Amino acid sequence: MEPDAIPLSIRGLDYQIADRKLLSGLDLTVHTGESVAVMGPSGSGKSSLLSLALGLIKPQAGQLRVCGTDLVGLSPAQVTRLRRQHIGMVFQFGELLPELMPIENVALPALLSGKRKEPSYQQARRLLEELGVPVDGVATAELSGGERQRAAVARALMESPSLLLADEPTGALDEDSRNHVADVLFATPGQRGCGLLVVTHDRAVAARADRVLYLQHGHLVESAGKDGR
Amino acid sequence: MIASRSLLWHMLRTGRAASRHGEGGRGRFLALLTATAVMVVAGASLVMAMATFDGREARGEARNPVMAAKGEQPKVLWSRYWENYQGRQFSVVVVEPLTDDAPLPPGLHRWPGPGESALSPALADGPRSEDFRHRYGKMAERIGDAGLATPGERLAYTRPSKTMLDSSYLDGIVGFGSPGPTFGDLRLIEPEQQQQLLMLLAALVLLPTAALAVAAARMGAQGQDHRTALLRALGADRAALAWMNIGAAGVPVVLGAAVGLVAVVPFLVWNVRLPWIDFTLAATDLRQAAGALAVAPIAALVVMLALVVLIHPRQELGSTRVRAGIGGRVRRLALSACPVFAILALVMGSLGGSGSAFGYLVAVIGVWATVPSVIGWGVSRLAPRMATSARKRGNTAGLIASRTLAAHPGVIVRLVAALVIAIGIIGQTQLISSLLSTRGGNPAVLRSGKTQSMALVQAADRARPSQQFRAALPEGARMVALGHSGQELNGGDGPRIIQAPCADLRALSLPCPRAGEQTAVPFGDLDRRLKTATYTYFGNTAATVRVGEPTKLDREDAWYVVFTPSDQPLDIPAVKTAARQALSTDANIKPMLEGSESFTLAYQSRWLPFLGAAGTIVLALAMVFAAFSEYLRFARSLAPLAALTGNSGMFRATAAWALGAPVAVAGALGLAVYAVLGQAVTGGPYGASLSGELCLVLLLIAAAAAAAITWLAGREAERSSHRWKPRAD
Repeated sequence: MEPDAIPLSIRGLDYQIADRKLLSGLDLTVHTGESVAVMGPSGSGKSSLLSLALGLIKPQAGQLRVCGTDLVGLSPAQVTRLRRQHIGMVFQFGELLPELMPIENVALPALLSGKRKEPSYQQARRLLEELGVPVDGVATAELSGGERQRAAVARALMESPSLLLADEPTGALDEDSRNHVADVLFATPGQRGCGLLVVTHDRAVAARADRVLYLQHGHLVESAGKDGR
Repeated sequence: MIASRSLLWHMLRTGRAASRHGEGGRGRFLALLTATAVMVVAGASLVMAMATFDGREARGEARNPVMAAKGEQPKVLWSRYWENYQGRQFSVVVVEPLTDDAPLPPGLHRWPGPGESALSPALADGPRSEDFRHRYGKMAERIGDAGLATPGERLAYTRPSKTMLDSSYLDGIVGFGSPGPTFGDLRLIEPEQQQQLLMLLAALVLLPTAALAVAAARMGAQGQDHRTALLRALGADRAALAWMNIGAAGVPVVLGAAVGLVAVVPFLVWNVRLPWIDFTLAATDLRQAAGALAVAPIAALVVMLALVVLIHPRQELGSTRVRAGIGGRVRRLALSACPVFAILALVMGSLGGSGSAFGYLVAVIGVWATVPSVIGWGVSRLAPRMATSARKRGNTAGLIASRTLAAHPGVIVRLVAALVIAIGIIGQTQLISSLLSTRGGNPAVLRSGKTQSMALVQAADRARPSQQFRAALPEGARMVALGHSGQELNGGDGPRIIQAPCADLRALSLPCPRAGEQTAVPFGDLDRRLKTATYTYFGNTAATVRVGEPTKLDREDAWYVVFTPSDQPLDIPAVKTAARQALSTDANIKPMLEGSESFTLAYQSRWLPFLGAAGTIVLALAMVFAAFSEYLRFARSLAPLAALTGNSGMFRATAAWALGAPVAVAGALGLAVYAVLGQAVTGGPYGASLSGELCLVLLLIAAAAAAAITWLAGREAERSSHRWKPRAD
C-alpha cells in the first residue's frame, strides 16, 4: 500500500446483472478520515456497490482501487489478502456468532488471520470497552441489538482497516441504539484515520456523513452532507 | 367460505413459493421426498407381511388332505414326510390316484405318472448336484403358485412306481381343502410368528422410518420456522400456518408417495425374491391386499404432512435470546430412565428364561432410546469446558464448535441419535443372530465336506429289502445295518447291533468276528462319526458287531448307516435318490448333523439381519439429513466471516469439531454400550457372542461417517461462503 493511498477510489465502474445495468460509469472516492453515505431506492445497486468494493463480484468495466491497488485485475487469493489487510465490514444484522462471547467474536478475524491469541484478545477487549459493550461472560446472543451492532463495529476495526464498509448498520435498531451505533461509527474515520462508506436507507444516519450520495440510474449524485445541513 | 378458500390457496401458494426460493430448498425437497417414499415402503411391508401370512394359511388349507371317513371310498392314497436340504426341512407328498375322478392337489395340472414327480420351482431349479428332478421320480411338471404356501417354497409331489407303491404307509383321502394342521413351510412358521415378524418390522423398520421422517421434517426448516413465526405475529391462525407449511412440503411429499408407490407396484405384478434371506413374496397375496397397500402412500402422505405441520420448536418473533436445548422435562426423564434401563437389561439378561428375555429386550430398547439424550446432555455439560480450553489454546474452530454445542445440544442429540440407534440395531441383531445360531446350529457347518461323509437311513416296516438299495448306492459308499437289542435288566438300553459284511465293518474300524459269532465294542471305541450320527436314536450304547448282510434288524423300522471310509465326501443326494427309489418312498435320510429342526431357527433368524440392515440404511439416511440440516445452519452463520477473512480452512476445522467429532464419539460410545449390554447375554454354551470384527467394522464406519460429514459440511460451507453477498437492497 502506498503510504497516503486513498482508501477507496472508483473510476468509470460498470456493473450489470443480465440485461439490467445497475452501475454505469460510476465514480466515487472515499478519503482517509472521510465518511460517505450512499442512499438510494431498493434495487438501485447499493448492495452491488458494497460487493464490488469487497471484491466479491467483478465489474464489467472500470477501476476499483482499495488503498491504491486495483481490485479488478487481482486473483481471488490476492483479493482476499487485500480485503483482510485493508477492509473492515459491518453488516446489517451484525453477523456475529450468537453462541460466542463478545470478545471471542471480535477477536475471531485476527485469530483466523493467524495472529497470536494474547494480543488479539487484548485488542478485542480494548475495542469492546471503548465502544461500551460487555466483554465476556455473556453470550453474544444475550446482548441487546445495539450492543451487538457495536460489537460488530469492534470486530470490523480489529484489523485496523483503511476502509470501513457498513451495510445498513442501524437498520434493525431502535432510535436510541441507532444513535449510539451511528455515533460510534461516524466517529471512527476521525479517530482511526480510515475511510467509511455507509450504505443506508436512514436519512438521519446518512446525514451524519461528511458526504451523502444518491445512487440513481447507475450514477452517484452528490447531495448535501453534514457540512451542508 | 369463499374468503377462507381463497386464503387456503393463497397460503398454499405462499408455502410453495417459499420452499422454492428458501435456503436449503433442494436438500429439504430431497429429504421430504425420500422420507415419504421410505414411509410408503415401510407401511407397505407391514401390509405385505400380513397378506403373506394370510395367503400362506389359505393355500396351506386348500392343499390339506380330506381324510376318507370310515366306510368311505378313498379317491387318492396320500402321505407326506419331511425331507432336508442344507438344514431346511421341506415336505415330500406321496400320492397315488385311485379313481378317474380323483381330485388334483392345488397347483397340479395332471397326475404324475407312476415313478414321476411334480416339483415346486425352488426344487426344480435347485442345484443339479442335488438331482431333485430325479430324486422323487422323473419330474413331470412344476407345481403352480396355487399349490405353494409361498412361491419360494420347496415342495414335491411324488407318485411311486408300481414296485415302490407299497414301500410306505399311505392314507386314503377323498380330496383337498381341509382345515386343521397344515404341512410344508407352514409347519415351520407358526401363527404366533406373524406377531413376532410384525414386532420385528415395527422395531427394525418402522422406528428408523419414524426417525428419518422427523429428521426430514426438520431438515432445512429454519426458513419455515421463521415464516411461521412471522405470520403468527401477523395474526395468522393455526389453519393458515398449516396450509402454508403444507404448501411448502406438498410437492416433495406427494412425489415421495408416488415414488414409494412405484417401488411397491412390482411386488403386485411379479413374485419378488428378497435378497439374502431366500424368501419369495407371492404377488397374488399382495394383489389381494391391494386395497390396504393403496392406503400406504395416502397414510405416508398424511403422516409426513402432519409431521411438517406439527413439529416446530416454539419460537417468538424477534427473540434475541439463545434458547435452551431440547425439552427439559423429556430430557430429565430420559436421563433418569437410561441407567434404570441399563441395570434392568443387565439383570434380566443374566436371569435367563423367556420372560426375562422379553424384559431384556424392553430394557435394551429403553437404553437405546434414552442414551442419545444422555450423550446430548454430556456434550452440553462438557462443551463449556471444551470452549474454555479451546480459547486458552487459541483453537478457533474448537471454540466456535464447543460454544455452539453448549448452546444447542438438541442438534447434537438428533445427529448422534441416528448413529447410536443404528449401532444398537446392528449390535442387537448380531447378538440375537448369534444366540439363535448357537441354539440352532450353524448352516455353514452343513456345507462342509466333513459333515457329509455319513448318513443314517431309517425306513418304516413296509420298506423293501435292502439289497436293491445297497446296489443303488453311489460308488464308494458302504453300508452297515443297525438294530436295537432291547432293554437290559437294569432298565438301560441294551447294546446296538451292527451287522454287515467284513469289508464294510472294517471300513468303519470295527472288528470282523467269525460267522455266527459276535464281538462287543464299547461306545467309546466306535467311529466318531457313527457315535454322532446315531446318537439321537441309539444313545451312547455299546455295539454288538456281527457279520452278515445288512438287512432290517428291528421288528418295525430298518436302520442303515451309509458312509465313506476316511471321511471321504459322501454323495448324499445320490444316497437319498437310492433310498427313495429302492428302499421306501418315505425313507428318512439324516446326514450327520443335519436333519434337526432347529436349523430352521437359524434360517428364520436371517430375517433379523435382513430387516436390521434395511432399518440401518434408513437410519443412515436420517443421519445424513440430520447432519445436512445442521450444516445449513452452520454454514449460514460462518459465511460472512469466511468471505471477509478468506480463511476457507476454518470450515473444515469447524465442521470437524462441530459435526465430525460428535459422530465419532457417539460411534465409540454406542459400541461401548452395545458391548456392556451384550455382557448380559454372552457366555456359556448357549450364550450369544460379541463380535470383535463387527465392533471394528462399526468403529471404522463411524470414523468414515465422521470424516464424510466433516468433508461434506466443510465443502458445502465453503461453497456457500462464495455465494454470500451483503444484502442492503
